[in-house]
Amino acid sequence: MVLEYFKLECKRVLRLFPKIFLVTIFVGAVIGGIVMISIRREPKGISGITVGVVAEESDIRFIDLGIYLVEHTDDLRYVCKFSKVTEDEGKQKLESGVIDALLIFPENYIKSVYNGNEKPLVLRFGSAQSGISSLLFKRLSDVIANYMMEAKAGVYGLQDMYENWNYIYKHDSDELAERYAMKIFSRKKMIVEERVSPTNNLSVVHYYASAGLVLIFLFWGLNCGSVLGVQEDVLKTLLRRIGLSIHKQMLLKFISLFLLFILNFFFLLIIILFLQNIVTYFFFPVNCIVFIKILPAILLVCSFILIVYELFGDGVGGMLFIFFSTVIMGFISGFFYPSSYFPEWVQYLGRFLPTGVLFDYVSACISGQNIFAPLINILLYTFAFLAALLYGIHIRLVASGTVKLKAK
Amino acid sequence: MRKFIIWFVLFQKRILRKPMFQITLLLIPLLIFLLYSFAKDNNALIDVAIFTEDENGYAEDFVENLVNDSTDVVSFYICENEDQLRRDVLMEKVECGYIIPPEIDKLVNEFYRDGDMQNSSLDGIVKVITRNSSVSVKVVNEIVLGEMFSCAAFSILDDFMHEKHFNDMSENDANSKLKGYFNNNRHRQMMFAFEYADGSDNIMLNQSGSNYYMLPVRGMLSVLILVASMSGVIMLDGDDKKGTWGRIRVVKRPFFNYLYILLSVFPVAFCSLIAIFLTGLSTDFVREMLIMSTYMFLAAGFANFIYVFIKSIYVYCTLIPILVVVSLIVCPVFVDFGDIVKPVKFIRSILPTAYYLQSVYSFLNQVKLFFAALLFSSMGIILEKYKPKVKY
Repeated sequence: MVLEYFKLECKRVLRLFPKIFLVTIFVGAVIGGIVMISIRREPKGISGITVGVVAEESDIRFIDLGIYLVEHTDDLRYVCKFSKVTEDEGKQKLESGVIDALLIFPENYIKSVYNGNEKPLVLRFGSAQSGISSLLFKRLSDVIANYMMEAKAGVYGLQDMYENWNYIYKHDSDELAERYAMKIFSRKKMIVEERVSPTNNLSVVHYYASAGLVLIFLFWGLNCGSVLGVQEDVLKTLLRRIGLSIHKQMLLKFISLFLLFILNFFFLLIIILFLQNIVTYFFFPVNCIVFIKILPAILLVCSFILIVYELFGDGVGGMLFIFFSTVIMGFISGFFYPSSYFPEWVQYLGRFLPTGVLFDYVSACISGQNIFAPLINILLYTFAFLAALLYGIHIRLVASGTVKLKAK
Repeated sequence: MRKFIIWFVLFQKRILRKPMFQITLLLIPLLIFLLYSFAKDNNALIDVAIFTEDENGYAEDFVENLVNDSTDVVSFYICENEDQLRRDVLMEKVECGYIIPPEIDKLVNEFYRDGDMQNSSLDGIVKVITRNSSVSVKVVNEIVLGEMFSCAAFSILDDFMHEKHFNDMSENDANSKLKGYFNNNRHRQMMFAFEYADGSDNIMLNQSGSNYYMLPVRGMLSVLILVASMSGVIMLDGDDKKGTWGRIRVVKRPFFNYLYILLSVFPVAFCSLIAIFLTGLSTDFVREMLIMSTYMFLAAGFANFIYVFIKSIYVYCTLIPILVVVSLIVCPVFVDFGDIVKPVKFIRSILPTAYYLQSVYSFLNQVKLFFAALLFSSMGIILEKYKPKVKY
């Protein structure tokens, strides 16, 4: 009886396989396609921000020097690329997305800097959506203002001193300004980096690979609405009456869902390994050993998905809940921004959400760390969800008339 | 007209009873509350630890300057010892930690005097302890480098003056005079003014103390509106299966479908608009109203357009997360990948959210938003009308 029901459940659930797999391939193809096109266009994969520069002819020589220095300074050269434009042209390009930002130098900027009455440079961004990168850019602009202030203090100090001595300062003042500019950009190796290795130290690739995998697993649940979201209380009760308890039914459903996800993950692994062999730039830190290690994470994912659909009892409602809860929990657990950007209580909360527990485990598997403690968490959460599921179904069946059936 | 108003009110009442719309609407205040509480609790976006062994020398001043320059984006705090600093980095309490050597001023001056950078003993004057090399660490490096330049700025001038006018500078008070002139000219000025594409003031970036957690709110709300429009399709499909709107003539169905989706977007768009005004992200009232209404038409048209091709509601549902995730990444809502990976921008042209976000401060993009809304809405209706009907 148990085996027959299990076979039926597997047959039913495995119907979802092509749909889930096709969606995974589609998302993978879109993201992979973007990355591949960008790699072909930009050999380093990163093209940086394109900044249009608007400046008058009289200032262009100094601005060219500035651009040259910025484009040849250690990390900065990867961040920005500059192109000279007229104001109208720049505005048009900014609005059409050809450039990412527009830097406008006010009229006679260099002369006004000499006279100490310069107006601020105008920096325009194209989109209304200023992200965290805009804030970092703003902080960087404060640093540039600081460099400018120190260099100007030096040059004006020289001018004041020369005036005091009744000397002509024009040539020396230019030379000093140039020297300041050279010094500002000759800071290579002033700061040396030392990496510390905590137990959960992750490279950026490992970090986003772990977050990406957890999101993929949870989003697979969205495709299960057509099968898991169907209310079958009558069938459950009938099966119970012929000796297949609710516990057994749920356990078998859970196992069949687990098998479905393993199958999906297995085919995903094959594609990853295939791509790694044929595409030079493609790298995703998952191999056969990592695959086996990650499997317990799928237990937790399956229990979460099952509890949502069973308790919602509606495919579409369950889908929306899985989607929103995954996005919100993922946000709090640091999938979109690093969690260190959040207050401590949010970081703490993020670690205890299912997404945080899954992330800890998957990242430990991917980066080859000890998985014992995260595994215990995964199993505890899985059991807790299954227990809650059984209790929830019991309550619902009692409410929907199972008790009456018993009485009959 | 009166009939339409009654129908509109009844329809809205009906929608608000649906759990999926209740969830979507509940998410708006929840989202705002969550982001407000983040801002209240957190002092800065990036926390940085800093330590120096020097207690009375220049390094102490250097560290204090950095702490005083802390902003709501990058904030420094002093650690009691190196172990605490390393522990804080390891425990992810801070993004990175800086160890400042005693006599940093002398080391920095020597570094800048070493014109050809041959003296390798001066490499790594400051040590940064980090878990991994991120963009945030690079930004903080720039701040520390800026402070190091401040240490050396006067020495560069002093050296230059000694090179040019050794005899004049040898006079007793020349050096102190030069120092006085240098300090008198150190005025911090606003060097950059931030603007939007249309030249209007970017208040979020120009004002200090802005709640930066609110930055992605507009993007998140626009994605929610997209979800609401797609939820409208799910509801329409449910109604069709029950035959709720069976009395409507077949000729009028394409337009009815569109109107149905549009009206289901309305409550979410309305609440989003209120949220935009409450969070201080709004521009002027008329513009916000105008672009939000156009976006409403676009979102409804887009959802209807897809529904023409995908009639299986479960396949349609699987498209929701794909579209939402791609919108969040590409449009951009959290991080602008378009700045790094250029082809991402091509994908924007098929996503309604991008049209909305780009139109807020740009007239050209407002026109694009209008035409996109017109195109998707009319295409959806026309294709549905002239689609070959299945005969049973």
